[in-house]
Amino acid sequence: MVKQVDKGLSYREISRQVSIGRLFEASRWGDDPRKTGLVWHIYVKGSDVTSTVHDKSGYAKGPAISIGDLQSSQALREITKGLSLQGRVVVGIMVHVADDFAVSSIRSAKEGPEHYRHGSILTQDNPAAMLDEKPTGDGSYLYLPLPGAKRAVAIKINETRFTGLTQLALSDPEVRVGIYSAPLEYLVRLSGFVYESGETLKLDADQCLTVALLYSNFIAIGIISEGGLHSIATLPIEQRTGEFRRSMTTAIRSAGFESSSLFVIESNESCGSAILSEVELWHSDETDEAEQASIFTELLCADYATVTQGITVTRAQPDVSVTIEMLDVPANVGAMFLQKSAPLMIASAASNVSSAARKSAQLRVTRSDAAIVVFARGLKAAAVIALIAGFGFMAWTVYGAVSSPAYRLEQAAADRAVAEAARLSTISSAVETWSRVIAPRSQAWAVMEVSSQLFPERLGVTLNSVRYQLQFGDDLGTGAKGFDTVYEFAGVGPKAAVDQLETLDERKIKEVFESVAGVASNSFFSDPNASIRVLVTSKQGQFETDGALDFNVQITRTTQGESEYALPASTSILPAIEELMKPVDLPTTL
Amino acid sequence: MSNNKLSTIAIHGMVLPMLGLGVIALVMGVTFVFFERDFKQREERYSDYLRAVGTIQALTQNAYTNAQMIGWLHGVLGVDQFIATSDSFRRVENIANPEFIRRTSFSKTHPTVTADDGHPAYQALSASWFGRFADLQAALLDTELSRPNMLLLDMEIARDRTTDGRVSIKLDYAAFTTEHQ
Repeated sequence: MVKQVDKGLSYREISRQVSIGRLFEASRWGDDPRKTGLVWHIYVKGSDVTSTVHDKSGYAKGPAISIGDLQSSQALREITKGLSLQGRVVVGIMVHVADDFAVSSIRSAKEGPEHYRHGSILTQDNPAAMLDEKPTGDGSYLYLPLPGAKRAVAIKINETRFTGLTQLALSDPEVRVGIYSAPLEYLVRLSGFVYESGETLKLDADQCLTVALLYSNFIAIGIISEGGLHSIATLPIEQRTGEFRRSMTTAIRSAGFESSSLFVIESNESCGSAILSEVELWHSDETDEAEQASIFTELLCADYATVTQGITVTRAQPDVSVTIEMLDVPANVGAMFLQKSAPLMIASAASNVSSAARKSAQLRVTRSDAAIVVFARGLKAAAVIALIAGFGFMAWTVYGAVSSPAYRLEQAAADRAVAEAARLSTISSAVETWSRVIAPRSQAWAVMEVSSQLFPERLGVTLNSVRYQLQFGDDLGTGAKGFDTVYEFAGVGPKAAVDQLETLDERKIKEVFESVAGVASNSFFSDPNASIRVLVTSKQGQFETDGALDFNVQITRTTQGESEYALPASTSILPAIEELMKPVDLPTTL
Repeated sequence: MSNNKLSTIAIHGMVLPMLGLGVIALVMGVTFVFFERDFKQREERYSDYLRAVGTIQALTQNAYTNAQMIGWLHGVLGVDQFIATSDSFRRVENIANPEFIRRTSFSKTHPTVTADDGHPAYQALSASWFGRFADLQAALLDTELSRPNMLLLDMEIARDRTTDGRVSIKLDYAAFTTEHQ
């Protein structure tokens, strides 16, 4: 089934044409059938079809094929499948049409050298705009510049005979198809003969070279001047003896040349032998010498061998036999057609008149398209790998998570444990707080012990009064209140004793408190963070006459709010013992 | 046509597959994020649970000690401190020589202050003693050891010049209680 070009290719079809290995095969991506990995040449001369294949190992006899096979895409597909090694090699099919050669005129406005560059494309795409007469039939047209005459003609080839080839081109992207004019290819390749024979063809302004290609049903005549191909024409093969010579003479003279060398190349012995005989007869002085001398200065005769072997051209005198490689365009073609016209001839000879080939190119992916497809595949593969890796990582993470006791722990069990811990913490906190509240920090007997140690009897002073006060400070947000304990001792004593009292300082008072701490087994009095201030004053006693002095000792001991001995600012409810002894509800395993 | 092929390749070869993979990745990612969030909450819950279990184990080990302490605190704090302290003073007086030590007054100077004003509830008690210094100290030691909830706020000791060195003592206490919380 022929693919409809207008619908475009689906991605599946595009992807099927692409592989990373194929991306690096240069022969796979061109449109030219002669640049594929394997070229299948089909030489068509009426019902006579010759087949040969060419690959990197050289030429070989091609698969057997009939003219009917060229109308069956199925038959061609089966053959190409075998040639392509099941699609591993792209096959180029080149059909050389040797039985169809019609010359049409180009409009005078389009035939000048200035149109040579784009003439080929315009003629193939829109022949009606280029031809001098209305295109007829289903043939395709080939633009042929004639630089020798500074004009151009069109060659018509009927490609509709090859419907199988057309269908194959439009349905199999692994095949490249081309239809070429065999006479035109020969005209180009014949130049190699001149070069190979070691001769340089020099033509004067009034001289030309006439090439006559004898085919089974027509004679293609090319007249070449020093400017290149000057004119081209066809003659019917069924001519009476003498007609050929007269036609040639007329053609050469009408082209404005006085003399000419003549190449006669036979492609079909049965058809061409009569003309060759005539030519040879005419060349052997049995004809009108005056006419011969005036026109043909030299006669060269060539004889086709098979296509696979090339053509063998034999010069009549002297005998020179040269084999021309038929299938490769000689690089030195300019030796015959002059350098400036050589590219035009090569381009015309290499022109593919198959419209299916142009359409099938649209059904194939280009190398850049293929590179994008390969890149897209790589990108997808990388994304899939990343996705799989991500999925693996997530699966591994999830497995580890669901296997952990943290995942199996039920909310209710956790809540019960937290609530139980909070309940017990509350109890513990209450016990701790109340224990701190009732911790010994201000007791009358301890104050009296301070008095006793600070004013021992041996000091010799009389203590009249002791004043003790506990003054709370502000709660500075520590949750506990700091406080000052202020001791004030007043008495009377001899000056020496009072002088000794005046030596009291923080260090000595601290020693007294530490001593009390030892007696009371209470570390409150030895709190190293407590600060102590001492103020000792004395004065002459108002009622003392023996020189004794009244004294006053004031000690301020400050316990900061941060101290462990600070009084908690608030307490929680002291729980009942039963509350503590409630059984704990915890899960035993997770 | 080439543009069509290019757009076909771009759409079917890249955009749609990547979109599909992106959707799959998005679903997987979102699912994983939700799972991770849930698992993080479970881990936090488990961490709280372990901390709670540790707390419970530690507190359960001290349960007997705490129970004794609670019983003792209830005994110390849970009674009317005026009566309890008065009983303590009376016990001292019963064993002391009245010639050397005597209580001159004892009163509850303020109603029980509740915990609402920023500190533990307490009763304000006031007492006065007269006697020899050492005897008074011993008596107060006995009393204050038996009533550890009493916090001395103010004390004045004055030597009585008319006697043989005996002193008078005025004491103001805050006696903490749980009775009126």
